[in-house]
Amino acid sequence: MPVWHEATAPWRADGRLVVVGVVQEQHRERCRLYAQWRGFDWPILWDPLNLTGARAVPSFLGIDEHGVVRWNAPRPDGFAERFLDVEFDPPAGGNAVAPPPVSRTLLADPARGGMLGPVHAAHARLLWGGPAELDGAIAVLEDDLDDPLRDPRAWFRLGVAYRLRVDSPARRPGDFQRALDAWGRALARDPDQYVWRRRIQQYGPRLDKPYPFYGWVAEARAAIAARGETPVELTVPLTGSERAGAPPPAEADPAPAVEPDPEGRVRRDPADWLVVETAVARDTGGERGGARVHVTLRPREGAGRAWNNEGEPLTLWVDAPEGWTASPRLVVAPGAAAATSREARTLDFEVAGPPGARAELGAHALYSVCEEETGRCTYVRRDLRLAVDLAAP
Amino acid sequence: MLAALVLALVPGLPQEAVVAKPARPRVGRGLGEVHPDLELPRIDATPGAGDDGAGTLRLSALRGRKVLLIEFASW
Repeated sequence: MPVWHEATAPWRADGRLVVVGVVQEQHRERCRLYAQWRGFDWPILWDPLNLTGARAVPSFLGIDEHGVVRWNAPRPDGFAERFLDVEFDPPAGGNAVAPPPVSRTLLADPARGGMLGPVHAAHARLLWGGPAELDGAIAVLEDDLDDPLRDPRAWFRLGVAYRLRVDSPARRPGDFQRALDAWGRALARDPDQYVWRRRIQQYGPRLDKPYPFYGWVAEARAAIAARGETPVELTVPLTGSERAGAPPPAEADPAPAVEPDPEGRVRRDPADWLVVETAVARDTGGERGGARVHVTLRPREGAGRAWNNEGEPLTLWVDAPEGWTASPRLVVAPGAAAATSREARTLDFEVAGPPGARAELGAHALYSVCEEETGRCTYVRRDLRLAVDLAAP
Repeated sequence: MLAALVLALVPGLPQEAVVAKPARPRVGRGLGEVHPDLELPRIDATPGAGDDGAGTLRLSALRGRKVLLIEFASW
């Protein structure tokens, strides 16, 4: 990508070429940060739903002045001679093209588009409608799956919709697992679809990662700041899984973590002040018996409690049953900048067990919360049972 | 919806005959073919430009220009 950005700079500057990017990612602000870091000044389009049908990235197409594809997988060497400097003939059959099935205009006119109009309109609501449109769009896509003729793209796109809702104020319990399960169903029917596979691997175990998905973020933010710019803010915090790469060599394993509160002396949360939700991202590579467990905690509505960011950080300790391992066993979540806050916090860790097996892991969370009415803060413990199912849904 | 109609009209049609439909391949991407039109939200990476996702770009609006279309991810 940076190679093409540099190679095309003079052609973009003299107007001979337009570069258009299409990003196959769930979170558009992460691509904004990447583009800011790399200095990409050409238009980039956000395609979380994989509407283009791309099966792997990156891919490159040279499209001529008539809209005709002339070069698949071009190379910078010879690009000017073989493409830019050539005056292509218009196609014999004309170059008329149907309007795109998914368009922003569907927000105002959802009935347009024939039989698939409601589904396309739902896609438009996901892309342009914001959080207020998520429930309605998801209801349409769920209903659409009543049709057994639906191809796996419908499952993938429903998964994207659930994950969009996870990252919005409209979040519902279970959405993250629903997203992972929907993506898993899509991939099971089309295992060579690598855009879909990466969406699961982003949240999955290290043994299934081809590379660290967002390991570049810290370097990018530092480089942007060094230029005197303000880095694009990531509205959805990165999970540990998204920063992690392939498993480290065994000799690089850190010293064993020490269990906080091993004797259970910290006072128990008396009223479930937090909502706890678990999602399991399984290995997409088959029956290797690995998964990444994501535990999300957030202050419960009506409990009158908020995170105390000036107190002890939120920690999660995990105990694996016989025949299973958990790593790391101690996970710590950073606090927010404000003195108190109410955001969802996700901690994640690896599990390994017999392929296809189920288990219940013991765990406990320690956290400091403040009563919103009085400002009185308390450090408490919540004991948890985390169900992990390594079998495909 | 469509499947329900098919099943209703063709009694005895085995379920597996309609369930195992593979993903359709990408269309219109072959050399010498007109690229299908496409409309998606535009990401603006210009510092301070803001990004409410409201902007769009339609591929057909670029007719008359040579285009390098790059599909990518930030990882």
